Amino acid sequence: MDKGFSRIHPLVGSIYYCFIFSFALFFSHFYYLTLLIFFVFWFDFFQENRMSMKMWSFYIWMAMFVFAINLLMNDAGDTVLFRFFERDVTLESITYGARMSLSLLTMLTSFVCYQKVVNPHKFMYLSSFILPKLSLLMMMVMGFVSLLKERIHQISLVQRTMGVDVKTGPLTKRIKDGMKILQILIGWSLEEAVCTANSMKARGYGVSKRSSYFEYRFRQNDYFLLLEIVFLGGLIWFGFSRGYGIITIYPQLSGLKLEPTGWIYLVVFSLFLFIPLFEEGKEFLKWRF
Amino acid sequence: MAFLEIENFCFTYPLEHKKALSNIDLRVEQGDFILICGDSASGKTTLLRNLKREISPVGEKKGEIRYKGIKLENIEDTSSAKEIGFVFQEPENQILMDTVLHELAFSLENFGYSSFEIKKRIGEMSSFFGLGDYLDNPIRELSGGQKQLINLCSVLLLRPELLLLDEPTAQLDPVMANDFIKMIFQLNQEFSLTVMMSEHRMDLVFPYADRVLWMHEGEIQFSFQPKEMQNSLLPCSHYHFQKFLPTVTQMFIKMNHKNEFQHIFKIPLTVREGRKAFEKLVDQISIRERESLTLVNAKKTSRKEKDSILFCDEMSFQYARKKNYIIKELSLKIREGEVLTILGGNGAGKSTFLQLLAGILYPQEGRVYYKGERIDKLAPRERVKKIGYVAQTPLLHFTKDTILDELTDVSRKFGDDLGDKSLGEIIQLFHFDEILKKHPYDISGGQQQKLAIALALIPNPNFLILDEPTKGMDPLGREKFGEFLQGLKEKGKTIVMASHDIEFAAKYANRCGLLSRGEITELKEPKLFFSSNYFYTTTVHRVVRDFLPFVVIGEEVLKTWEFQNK
Repeated sequence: MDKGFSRIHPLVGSIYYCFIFSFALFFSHFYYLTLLIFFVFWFDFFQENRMSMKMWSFYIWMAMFVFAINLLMNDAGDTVLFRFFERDVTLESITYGARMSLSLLTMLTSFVCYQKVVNPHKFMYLSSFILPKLSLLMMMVMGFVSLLKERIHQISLVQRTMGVDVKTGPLTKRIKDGMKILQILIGWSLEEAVCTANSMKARGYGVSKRSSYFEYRFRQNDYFLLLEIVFLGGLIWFGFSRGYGIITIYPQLSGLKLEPTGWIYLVVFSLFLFIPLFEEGKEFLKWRF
Repeated sequence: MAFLEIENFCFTYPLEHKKALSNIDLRVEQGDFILICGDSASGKTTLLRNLKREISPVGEKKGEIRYKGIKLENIEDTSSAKEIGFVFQEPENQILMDTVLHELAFSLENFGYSSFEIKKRIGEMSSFFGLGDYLDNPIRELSGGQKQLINLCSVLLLRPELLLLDEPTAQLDPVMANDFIKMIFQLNQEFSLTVMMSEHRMDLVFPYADRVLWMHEGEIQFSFQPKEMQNSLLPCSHYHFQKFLPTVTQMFIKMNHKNEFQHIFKIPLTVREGRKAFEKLVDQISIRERESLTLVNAKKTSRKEKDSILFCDEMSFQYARKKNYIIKELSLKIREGEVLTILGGNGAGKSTFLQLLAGILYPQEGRVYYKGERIDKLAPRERVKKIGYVAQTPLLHFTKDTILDELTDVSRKFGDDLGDKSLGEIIQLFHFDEILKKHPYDISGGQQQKLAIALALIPNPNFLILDEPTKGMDPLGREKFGEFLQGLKEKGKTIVMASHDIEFAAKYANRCGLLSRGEITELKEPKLFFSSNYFYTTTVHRVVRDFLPFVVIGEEVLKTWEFQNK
């Protein structure tokens, strides 16, 4: 069931996350990026199906990998710290690497959050306004993926009794066996698909224009949130256009120090990031008091 | 004007000479519950599908079908799709969407209903069916019975006036089948929904039907009300037809074959009527005879303890670390040359258990031994020659375009030392002569089952594992299949099968066991096994248990009875 921020209208949710993605992509100031990942982490932490340590460590390793690659490949920048394997290691390239990997980490994890807030069904609902037929197809495909996986499992078990097994024998035999299993899957699934098509027709598919059961109403809160998101988001972008949230890396790293106006923009930025947590908090308080 | 009229309807499939349906004449009134029975190739499905325009088969049609006085071809698209509902046999492949709610909404969305109307109808229907808790669940996680209920529900949302069902419970276990059929009956009674259903579970449906049609070779041979049967107005001695009656009815018809009990009882249709009739019969005989009756068959048939062929030793199995135990500390000895049946509800883990025995899944704890050898240590080739396995869906075994190719392929791979001779024998044994050139997908379900068994038998294993072999078979097919299994047993094969089919197990198994919560109860002979159960037992036993406590199949009752009367 949808709770807290997930109750948001899918359109508003998508707009919010568009802002988040673009921030993660364009902003390079470390205060901004750290705030982003911090809030993404806390939002995810309050979800019922929060990311496991395994997933987090996977994403973090990925970011570290990007950081390491950058360190090895990139020697631009003026401030040379030391030499490593005949290459200059500069403060700028380290900073650039750190910025890249933080940005990547934020993008990936916030995308996971986006999927939780705007789940595939809601996403389909949005896309059905643009391509109605396609979204029905996508829905069916989603159902079929798990079905076909299950079928492959069954077929390979049964064929194993006849010695057809992709896990044993020389490579050519394994490939042949794999093809055999796929061939059975296709034959079987086509056979079943005839019945599926009949069941679609029998229930009147194509008789008239389809409607959609899933209508997400704009609640009062959605209007309010939309206003808030657009206002704060706009303000942040305005700041960005005037150079707030960016650091100069090349040729020489500028300091991380912020002017008073910069602090104000950072507060606005935090407010924007706080929106989902605020919604979750409302839900939480409702049950506390 | 009748609700549905079929006049002199004939149907021929393209490229076939024989008519699939001939001279069908039928009048159905609003609110009728019509049961269509007959063997698998008798044209039941063809008839039902001809009544639903959207899915009517391609072929040559003669005669007329009128729905509410209008020819079927002339009904409007929307009313044809809405007013005539159709539920298919397989619960799985009628499903399109991934969650229950989406699946239910699908049919209503097709007609462009507003979101409000859809919500209302789904809300109403799901509370009637008790689906409220499942609405957001992924369908694939539900059991077969629940899936079929959702298929039914999805059709009913369109408020059909005529409901057509093509063997809807063939894939379900007895408990779920019972629930499903009760639901159909309730709809028929409370909403006067007209129902036409083809079904093999006569014990279940027969008592509910207003009219029963018996089809044979594309014709309606008999059309009667079940009550007529009680007055013996029908040629019940017709061998073929008799097999399609409820088991209780069959038994009493056989007892009454000389018409000597006509004055004592009416031919019963249900267990309740059967018990009353049997009581009256027993009242006819003296007390001394009655006492000797109860003792009949109480003895355990003594049999030499044979060597075990397969042995599992405290076997445990889970699909994943945090999942439940499917099989828990299970030890079992299977004797050489026996037919062992494992019973149990859907999801009890019967299939998993068989796959463990077949050596295609490995237990996390414990081992399985085939004549003292660990089966996980056997090379795949060796294993195939020792253990044959046939899955629930025979289609999974087929890779070639014709049956002959299928057989020769396997025999080339495994039957090398036997050559063509064994292949010829197999073809003869299974009566494949006429269908050798057909595609494995085009033959009937029973034949597919046999083909899969044939493939498993070519490497000449002594041990055969069958998963639900009688699923979806008609009564005649089941009987033939049972005799075929007996034949295999006489050839010295050991057979283990999982089944829902209580009547089949009672008749053909040597030992039965119930798998539940990962454990198998004590293996017993069918008569001892079923006679100690209250629910999980044959209909015949429910009729006679107060008088013949150890009799579980009709044939035994007849034998005992004749013996007494001598």
